[in-house]
Amino acid sequence: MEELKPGNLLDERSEYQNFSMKPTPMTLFLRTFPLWQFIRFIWINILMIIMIQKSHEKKMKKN
Amino acid sequence: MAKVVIMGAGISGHTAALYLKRGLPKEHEVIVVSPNSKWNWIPSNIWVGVGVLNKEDVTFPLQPVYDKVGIQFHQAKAVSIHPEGSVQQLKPYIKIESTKDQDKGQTAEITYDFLINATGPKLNFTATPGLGPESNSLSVCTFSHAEETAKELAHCIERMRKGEQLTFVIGTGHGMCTCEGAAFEYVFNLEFELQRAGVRNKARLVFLTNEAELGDFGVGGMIFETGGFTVPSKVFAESMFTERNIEVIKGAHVEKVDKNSVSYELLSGEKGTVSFDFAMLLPPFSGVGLKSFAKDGSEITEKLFAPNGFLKVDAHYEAKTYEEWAPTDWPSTYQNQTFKNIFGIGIAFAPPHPISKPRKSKNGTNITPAPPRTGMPSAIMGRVVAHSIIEMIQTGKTDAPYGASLAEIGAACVASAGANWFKGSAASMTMYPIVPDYRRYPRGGRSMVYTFGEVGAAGHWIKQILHYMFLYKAQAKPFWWLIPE
Repeated sequence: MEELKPGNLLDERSEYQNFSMKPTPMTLFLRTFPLWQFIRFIWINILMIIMIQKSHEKKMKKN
Repeated sequence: MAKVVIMGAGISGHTAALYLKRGLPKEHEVIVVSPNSKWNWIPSNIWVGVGVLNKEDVTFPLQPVYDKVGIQFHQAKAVSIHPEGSVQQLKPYIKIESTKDQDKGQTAEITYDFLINATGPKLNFTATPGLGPESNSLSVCTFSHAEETAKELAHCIERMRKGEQLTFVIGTGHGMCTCEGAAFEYVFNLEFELQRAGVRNKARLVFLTNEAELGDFGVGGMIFETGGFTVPSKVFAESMFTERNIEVIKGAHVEKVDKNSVSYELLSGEKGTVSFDFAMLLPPFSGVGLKSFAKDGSEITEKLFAPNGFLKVDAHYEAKTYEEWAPTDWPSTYQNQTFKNIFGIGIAFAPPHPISKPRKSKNGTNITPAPPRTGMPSAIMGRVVAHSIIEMIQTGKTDAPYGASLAEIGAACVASAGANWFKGSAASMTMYPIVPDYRRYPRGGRSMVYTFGEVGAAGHWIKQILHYMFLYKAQAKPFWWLIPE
């Protein structure tokens, strides 16, 4: 059976032709640079803990 | 003395059982009924499915944990609920059927004062012809499915090393699937492992999803504030696919899966096929098919369950248009309104409607992601319902005192994109609340402070730590209750 490819296949043969955002070399470097990732690890955890705390606060209020 | 029966020992049911046992005085009984002898940390099945972990790494036997904390365990599947009892049995009860090898099929009745339905879903592979591990595609929904998928992947890698060019199709196997996040994680972990095996150039990766746009995840997408702009999750998700050269077919309902090809219909009404050598397609979910009977033996299943088989709780189920949807439609206490001693949590409760905007193809096919209710929200529901039942037992109240509506709680989702401490990464995402509330948060329906997304190795570290933390907590090891859901 011949394969059909409707128009929304996001097939990036030509690197910048699909208008998607792409990470810069600096962003790619930072994504795995341990020192920067350690800072992000702390920050993401703080945000997650606050968000979890807010979600748990809601449980004691009905009736 | 009160007897609390929990059907299901997944994330929500097991959490509820542990909190009930911890919070109730010893004279009360907590009973768990589950067809599986093992507990499974399902979020890590993705790593089993690419061969990074074994099934032993994501499971443990339930019986020793329940023996340790004093919970009675029946390895059996629930068959029916009798909320009014029967002529012979005056107390409400459930009928169960053993799944243990030694007495498989043997039935029994268990009476209850409170019942929690936490059965999870039926993996409805039959909704799409040819879908599922018993037909033409693979899955990572259970640890055994994931193990089988990893074996098939190892075989494919061998073929590519010998020079073959293969196509991998990953995604959702029906227009009404949920858990798009799991498919998203699987395709990126697959890509990472193919890179690691040195065969990425031999693989064509296709992501096929029922989401109208990437980054919808069944929650209508998210809006992040970054670089002076509000940016939809679609932009970030597209970027991840583009960066890794993964083709995308979006807004797709899979019509059938043949031996080596998937036929699908798009929202535009166009139809297409894509050939594959390896397909991991998630199934849609439905209720597990429990029946319910009145005291006189007449069937009252429709009183307890929605047509899709999920338990009706304190949600607003009247039909509404998308424009009329409100955060207050979503349940808070997870208490059935006909039988107030029955609760539905995790995937087992019937949501009032999707979170993503409902869409139909030009041919009338419904292509709308179902709302996700797994992971963190599922465990929070377990805890809240356990607290409600404890207080109801202690005070004699009939209305559940505690609530945790998905329109009021948030969720943290860490979507793995490669399992390695230094070279791997994950998309760390949080949203608050899960169900958008445009009155409270006119910009995107959610808090811009607590809704964010970021890709990096830190996400993988978090995912890895969560894996160990939740396995520790689920095994009820010392101070397990200090670990939040």
